[in-house]
Amino acid sequence: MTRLLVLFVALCLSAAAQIEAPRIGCFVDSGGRLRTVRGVAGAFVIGAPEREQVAAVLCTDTLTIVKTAASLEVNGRVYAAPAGPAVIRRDGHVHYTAVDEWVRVTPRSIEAAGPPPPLEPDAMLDGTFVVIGGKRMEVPGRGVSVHELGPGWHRVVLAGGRHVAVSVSRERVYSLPEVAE
Amino acid sequence: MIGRLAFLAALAVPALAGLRITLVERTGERILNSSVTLPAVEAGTVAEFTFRVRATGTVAVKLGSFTLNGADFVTTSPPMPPVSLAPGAYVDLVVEFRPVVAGSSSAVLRANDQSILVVAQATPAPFVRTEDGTPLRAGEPNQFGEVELGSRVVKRFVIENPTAQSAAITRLALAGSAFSSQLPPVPFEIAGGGTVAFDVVFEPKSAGRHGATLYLNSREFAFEGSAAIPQVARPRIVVDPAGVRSGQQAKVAVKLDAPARWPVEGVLRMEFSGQPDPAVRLLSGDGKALAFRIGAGEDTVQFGTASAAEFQAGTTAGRVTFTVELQSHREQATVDLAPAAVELDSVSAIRAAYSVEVSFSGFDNTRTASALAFTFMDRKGRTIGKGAVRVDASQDFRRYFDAATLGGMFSLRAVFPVRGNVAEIGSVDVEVVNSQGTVRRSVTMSQ
Repeated sequence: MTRLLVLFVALCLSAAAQIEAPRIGCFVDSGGRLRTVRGVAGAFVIGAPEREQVAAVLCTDTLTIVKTAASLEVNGRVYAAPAGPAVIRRDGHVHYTAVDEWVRVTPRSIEAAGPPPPLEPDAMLDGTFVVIGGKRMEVPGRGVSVHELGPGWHRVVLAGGRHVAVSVSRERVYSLPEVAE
Repeated sequence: MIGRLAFLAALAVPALAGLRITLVERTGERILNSSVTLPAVEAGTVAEFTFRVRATGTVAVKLGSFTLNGADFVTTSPPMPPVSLAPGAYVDLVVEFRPVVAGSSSAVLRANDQSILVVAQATPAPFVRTEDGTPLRAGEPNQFGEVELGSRVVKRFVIENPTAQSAAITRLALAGSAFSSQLPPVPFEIAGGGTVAFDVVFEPKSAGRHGATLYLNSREFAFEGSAAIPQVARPRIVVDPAGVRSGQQAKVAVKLDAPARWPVEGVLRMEFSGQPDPAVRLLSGDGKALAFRIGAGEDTVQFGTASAAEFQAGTTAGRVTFTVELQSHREQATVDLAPAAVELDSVSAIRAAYSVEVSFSGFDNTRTASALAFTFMDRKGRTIGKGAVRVDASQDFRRYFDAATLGGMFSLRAVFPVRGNVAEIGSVDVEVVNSQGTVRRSVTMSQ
């Protein structure tokens, strides 16, 4: 018999749990607008534009980092940032490429940082295949770009504008609904 | 002809006081009394003449009629009597003389009770006739009738030289995109009494009316035809896979019972009967309708470059109705998304220092989720404590679904405070109950 005691502190869910719409991730559409993808595998809903002129975005379970023209939003809080483009790495490092400055972002802080060690690219395109975490999966067309959509999900934009969501853990490629640009 | 001439001459009277009839010529007006002979023209030609009636007195004259009637004459701009003509005012009557064959023609020109005999001569010249001998009339298009796009009509025509002398053909051409012909090159001669035959092909590439003009020396002959899009065979809607369930993506194709004979376009519509769910949609376009095209000789429609349209069934039970609108066809197919137990898409459990966080996402297409149960196991698979921790979450789910705008999808995150060594917790079984049953998933703990 185990010595552990597990307590469920609230039989009413509202005290210890929350129900909400599931988020797959987010991306910047071809018009530079931030879009959130909600849903589950095979049933996606792409939301209306939430921000305009978005340079880069990262959506994880705990972090939503949005680089706009001259600010950096972290989980809804807005920080001043150098104007221009940026690269947001999945480890939370943000590179303001116009001024070659780095910051490191966590859910609770944002601080200046030096150039971090390079990250291995987590996804690469190879014609009609995408390689994610070493797994090679075929997509229904020639890939034009790939980026992390959210935890466990990548978005591949295909030639012609169609886009798909790739789940390595499920080893499946799903079509994403067309976005009204 | 002579008898009629004599009769009309007897009827002829001097011009009525107040009205004067003239033939408008390049050099001026020629006053007409009882008859006029028009300049001779080649048979098959269209020659236009203008007759004028003018009030010549000092008071206005009422013109009750002004007409010309006779074979081979066509009035192109008839006046609209009665007309009150002020002194000096006039009204024109424009007529076309369209002799089909050589010979003499006559007509009677009338203005109120005044009559003028009009005589015209058509000189022989090469003309065009149908294979059965009917001459083509200038201004009266030869009809090719209606054809279906993709098919053609071929008619044979003959250029005939009715004279005893050889005739030169200096211009022979056909203009009109839906018509074509292998015409002999010009110039060439047709011996007296000789003929030259040629075929005209009517093969339209678009629906609607089409026309063409055949030029023979100075004359023009018109051809007309119309084209209709062939009716396509009945379309059938094919859903793949056939037994689509909520949460799935699938394809819908439209196939015809027989290949289309001409490219046609149509629309596929997708409608959902059930509680609103934005995830139920076609994956292209606006999600509700998609245009398609089918090429000639094909039996499967194309959505852009794809032979099927993708759709997702969403996360709500109900009925999807696909409708194909193609020409006069309106075919439907339905996909029933049966109420089902909750489907869990992902489940995770993470240890913290003094707690365990269990998260899962999925959908409940009935939106009736109620009871939850969490059973924690140690690393050896033994149940911890008294068994499952059960929670009645029906109110929470009801509140969530009442406010939700995304169908039956949901994610749930629960934190369980732990007293003891959290690291000993090896896995957790999650149960979710709704009106259709219970779903269970086991997940191993991660840090």
